[in-house]
Amino acid sequence: MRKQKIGHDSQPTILSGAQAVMKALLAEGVEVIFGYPGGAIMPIYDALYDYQDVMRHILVRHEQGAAHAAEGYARLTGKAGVCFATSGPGATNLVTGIADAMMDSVPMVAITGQVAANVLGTDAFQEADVIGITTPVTKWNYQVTNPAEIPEVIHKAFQIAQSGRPGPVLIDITKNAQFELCEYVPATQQYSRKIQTSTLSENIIQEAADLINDAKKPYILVGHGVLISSAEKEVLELAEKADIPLASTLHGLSAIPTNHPLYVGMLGMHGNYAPNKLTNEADVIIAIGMRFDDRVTGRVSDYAKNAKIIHIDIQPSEINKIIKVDVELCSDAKKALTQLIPKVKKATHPSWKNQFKTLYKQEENSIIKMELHPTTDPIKMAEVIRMISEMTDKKAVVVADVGQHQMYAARYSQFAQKNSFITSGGAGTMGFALPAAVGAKVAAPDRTVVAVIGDGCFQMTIQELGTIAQENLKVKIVILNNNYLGMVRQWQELFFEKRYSYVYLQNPDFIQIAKGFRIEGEKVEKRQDLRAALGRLFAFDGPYILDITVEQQENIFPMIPTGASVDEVRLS
Amino acid sequence: MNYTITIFTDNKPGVLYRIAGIFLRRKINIESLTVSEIIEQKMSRFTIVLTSDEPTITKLINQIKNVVEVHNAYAYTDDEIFFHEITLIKITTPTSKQDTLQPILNQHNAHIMYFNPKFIIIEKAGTEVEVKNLIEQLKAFTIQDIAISGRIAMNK
Repeated sequence: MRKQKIGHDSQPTILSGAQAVMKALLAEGVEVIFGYPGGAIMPIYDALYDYQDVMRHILVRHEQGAAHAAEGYARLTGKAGVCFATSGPGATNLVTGIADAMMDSVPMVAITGQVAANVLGTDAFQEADVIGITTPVTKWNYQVTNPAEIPEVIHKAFQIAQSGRPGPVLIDITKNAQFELCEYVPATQQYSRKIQTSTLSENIIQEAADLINDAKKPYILVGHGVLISSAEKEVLELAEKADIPLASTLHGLSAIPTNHPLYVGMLGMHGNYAPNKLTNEADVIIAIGMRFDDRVTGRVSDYAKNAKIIHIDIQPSEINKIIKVDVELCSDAKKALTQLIPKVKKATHPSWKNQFKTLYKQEENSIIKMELHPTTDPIKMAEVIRMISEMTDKKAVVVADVGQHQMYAARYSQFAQKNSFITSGGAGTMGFALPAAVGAKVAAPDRTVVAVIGDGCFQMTIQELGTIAQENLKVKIVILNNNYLGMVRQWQELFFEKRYSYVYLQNPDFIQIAKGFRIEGEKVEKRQDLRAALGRLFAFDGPYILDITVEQQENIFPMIPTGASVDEVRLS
Repeated sequence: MNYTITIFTDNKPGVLYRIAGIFLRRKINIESLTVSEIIEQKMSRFTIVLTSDEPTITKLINQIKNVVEVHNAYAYTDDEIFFHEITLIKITTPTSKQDTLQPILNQHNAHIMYFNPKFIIIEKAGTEVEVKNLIEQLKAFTIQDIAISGRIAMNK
């Protein structure tokens, strides 16, 4: 059976379920799988053995790493990232990554082995109710017990994961369904009934255009949906035509080049001062592919209180979920904008734009200058981030973990190319960056991939150094090491009367550990060594790690405290 | 306000679980739930009754529509639908005042489904209020058990 020629024809063939899985994945154009074998998925790994020439399998060190790597891969390619895990603990280890993908609209197809159908529900060895566990965190999941279902189910999985608002799908395949033979009938059905394909009515487009044309203070919010829909060009066209300032959400970063004259910065809890403050002065807000996350809105009752809101989003349930909007454009962003742009009149808004400039100056003087050009030791996170941008011509893929360093990476990275910032936003999953950087580097081997990681996060998925070493992935790892769980420490300082409860970390020697994995690296403690060390990081032909000692008790500002309004954003 | 949600879904395992999960996440209590097969269409019809407000209901319906197996979902207020539930009431067969039972049943459009010397099972189809009124009157007898189905509904 193993030597059987792999057929690509559409004629029915007799295959094992495991072989059917591989054939169906090939039919979906899958080139890379991130995974970890185990008892209940062994037949699939056996079938995979025959596909080594056409499909690359990356052996991670923990299943959570497989899920995050699949996310990193998906974020750069736009295609569903694929991960494999065995039953029971293998599958439950995937769950964090699946939930992360659900929150951040990342297409993913997870395939898990399951105990044989005849022992389902008997507490068999390594059995877990994976369908039950993953139902709340998947767009769709399905348990296959009959191999004949495999081609259709896998096809459906990819369609669902990649269409509309993308997200994760899990297919749980019992061991018998992997062994048993079936007639492989290629999938034909379309599962697109959920996808919004119709064009928007002229009336609603006109309604949106009228609002924009009458606006004195129009404002565009760029979300992740802009990148997913590849609508960057259209967003800029609209902004330039009507002279509208653009701000980005965390996941919208890099859709708009940082140096674009209309780009005013990032929204949200640690976003820029002007974009937050002026949200409440705008008279028309065009929100594109974003979901009014609580980190963006602050206190909802006071959010954008002077604005009429036009919301472009592909998922109907996102519209009016948090903020009551005035014009609903439930559509793919690119399609909606293509319809909208011709109806929008040319305009200029010089004094409105100046308001952003004035507030930027305030932020620059009270925060940014000191962050980027500190005069005293120790090294600050922001200067490292900015130096990374400069030394990579703003073209690196920055994969940020979760916490203070993430917010510094988001605030101070500069972008000249789309899909250059990957992080865990909605879920805020510590440990995301290292495995996600694995996936990103596999997806874009020609781009510089820099993982920016805090010392706390690094120790959550540090084992993926093994994956990086084994695959010789030239991931550039920058640890911003302050010996603290910095964001929690900051909150304890500001909101819990400096009662520092379990936030200090006694860290190992990360460079020694990296060397144990046969990854080169060095520790950086002084500002005068920083640039040269970053130079060696980027020049080294292989993975490389910098453990940079940064200021221990730094606080990131601006900040919208929890429960405050966007216009109560604090500079200190 | 009382709302009745009607959901049309594929008749497949796990759909109930996904829909119930949406209610669970939002901590919305389901007052009654009826699921039945739509004959010859391989589909199911869910009828869910709950108390809520209009904005919540709209969000709920949108999230229900996200479920892959859901074809469509609608929410109605009571004046937009015809609705009934079915109630079975078991009473001890009375030794006296037997002749008072039948007039009550007639008045409430209920009927005896089964009887033996020990107990009588009464069947009543109607709105929640009608059922409640009947039960009030039957308290003159010895009620052993009451089973009330979930609401089924059809839009006007």
